[in-house]
Amino acid sequence: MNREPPVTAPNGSPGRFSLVLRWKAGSSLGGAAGLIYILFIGLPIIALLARAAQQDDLWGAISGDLALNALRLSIVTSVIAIGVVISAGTPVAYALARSEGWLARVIDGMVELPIVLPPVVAGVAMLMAFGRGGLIGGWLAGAGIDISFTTTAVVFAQVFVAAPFYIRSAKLGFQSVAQDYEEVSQTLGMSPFSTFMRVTLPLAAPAIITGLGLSWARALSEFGATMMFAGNLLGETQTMPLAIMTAMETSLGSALVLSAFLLAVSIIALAALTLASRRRWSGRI
Amino acid sequence: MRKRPRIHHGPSALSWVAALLVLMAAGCGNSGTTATITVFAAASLTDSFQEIASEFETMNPGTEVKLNFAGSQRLRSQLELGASADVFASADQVQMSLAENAGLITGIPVTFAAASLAVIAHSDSEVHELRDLADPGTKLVLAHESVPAGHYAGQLLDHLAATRSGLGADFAQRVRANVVSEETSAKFVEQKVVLGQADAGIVYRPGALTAAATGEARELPLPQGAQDVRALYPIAAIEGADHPQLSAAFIEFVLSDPAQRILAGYGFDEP
Repeated sequence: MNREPPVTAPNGSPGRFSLVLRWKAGSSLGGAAGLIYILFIGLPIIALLARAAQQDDLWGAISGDLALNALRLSIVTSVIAIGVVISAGTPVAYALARSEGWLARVIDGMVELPIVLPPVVAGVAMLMAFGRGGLIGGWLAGAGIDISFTTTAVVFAQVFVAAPFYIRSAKLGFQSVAQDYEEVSQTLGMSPFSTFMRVTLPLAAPAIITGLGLSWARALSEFGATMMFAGNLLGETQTMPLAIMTAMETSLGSALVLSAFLLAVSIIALAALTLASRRRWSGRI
Repeated sequence: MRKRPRIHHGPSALSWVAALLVLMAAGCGNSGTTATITVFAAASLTDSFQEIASEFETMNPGTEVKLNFAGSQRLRSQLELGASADVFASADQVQMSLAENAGLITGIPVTFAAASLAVIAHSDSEVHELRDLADPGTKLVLAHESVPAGHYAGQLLDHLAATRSGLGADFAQRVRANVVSEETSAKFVEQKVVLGQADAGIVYRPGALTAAATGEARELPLPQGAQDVRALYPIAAIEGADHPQLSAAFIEFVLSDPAQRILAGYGFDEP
């Protein structure tokens, strides 16, 4: 049972000052290793941006047929996927946050499995289930529903790999909301639904927003499962990552520009996420 | 300063990872005086080159042939980006020429095999003859046009539409409208059909034989003259590789009778 007070931003923590102290106190060996790591992460990012900036026809690559179709498809599919993740994932996350026992733990494990599962394996597994020769795919095909090689398959792949990031984060957020608050709210006459909407959700909001951001980013970057399950066709199933792979083999320049563009989107998403989750939503109660 | 609780675990996860890395490093180490060459070969050569490489290793004790299979366009792109290899076997002249123009090739490429194209359909699909490819709702998988197999498939469709095979002048167009995925190698096209994910696909004859052998796919009959559209496979040594003599020996072996017999066994033709 988790009855800790809600987790909020550690406004009163020692912050920057103590970080500097710790940095100085840290052994020079640790400092060097840390520096190497930062270069290790930073260099590829700088190299990608620098090489992309050298391309002659930057705008041509971004506004080309390949890029525009892929961008449109990536945005449409990832937004739909996130919609599905929110509507199906929120009840699951809440139920998991308030449940105990072996069944809840088993479901919890199953829900989180795609985080560690290689996406290619997810693709093969989805093929075996929803593909035309698959477990229920054959039955679906009989009913006139064919999922493989459609935009629906792209969304399927994205939901499969991205949902756990949202559910995991939302679950932790709900767990941080003490059940006392919900009980008090209900004794004051609020229905369970409005309690959820007006008490639980605002308190869990920072965790939920973080989860949404991570989940959306994961959906946007989905590659392995999409390639296995949805195929690669311009405007139908060729999302940004697949377009980059295709461009890589024809013109490196376009691949570089598309990659830099996706990198920029990721940086913006991360920044927005950090800002959003810092806001104190609890003030709304 | 706040005092933090210290928890002592058993061997930490980190130490397990470290131990694993040490074991892996030991496993990678070269034992003895093995000379290794790396061969980048078109995905459609997968089965035949595995057999050719193992034959070559048996004939030349102490040598090891590492194989990297992918669409020729991907291999060429990897080479351009600095991947180290000794031999490049491409499924078309286009990718080999691009590699030559990039200064990656030493000597003159030699064409060692040819392959006609084949249309395969999944056993359970409704596609029984060529005209079915143009039926609305048929799910057709081709290789992307940057992939040799995709390039040739386009040629085959145009050829079928152009010749008076009764398929109609708009045959190629109607078939192209049924394409549901553009794969990055002929091998992926073959797999998508064998798995039943797609109804049909256009691959090389050797790939069609492999697919038919699984019992999950069948080859569609092609009209006379379709064999004119065929893939030519050039092979060449990579500029600045570590073992030029061994590379030359491997290329010579690929051109020799024993290797040519292996290729013929998989359905390749003489160039």
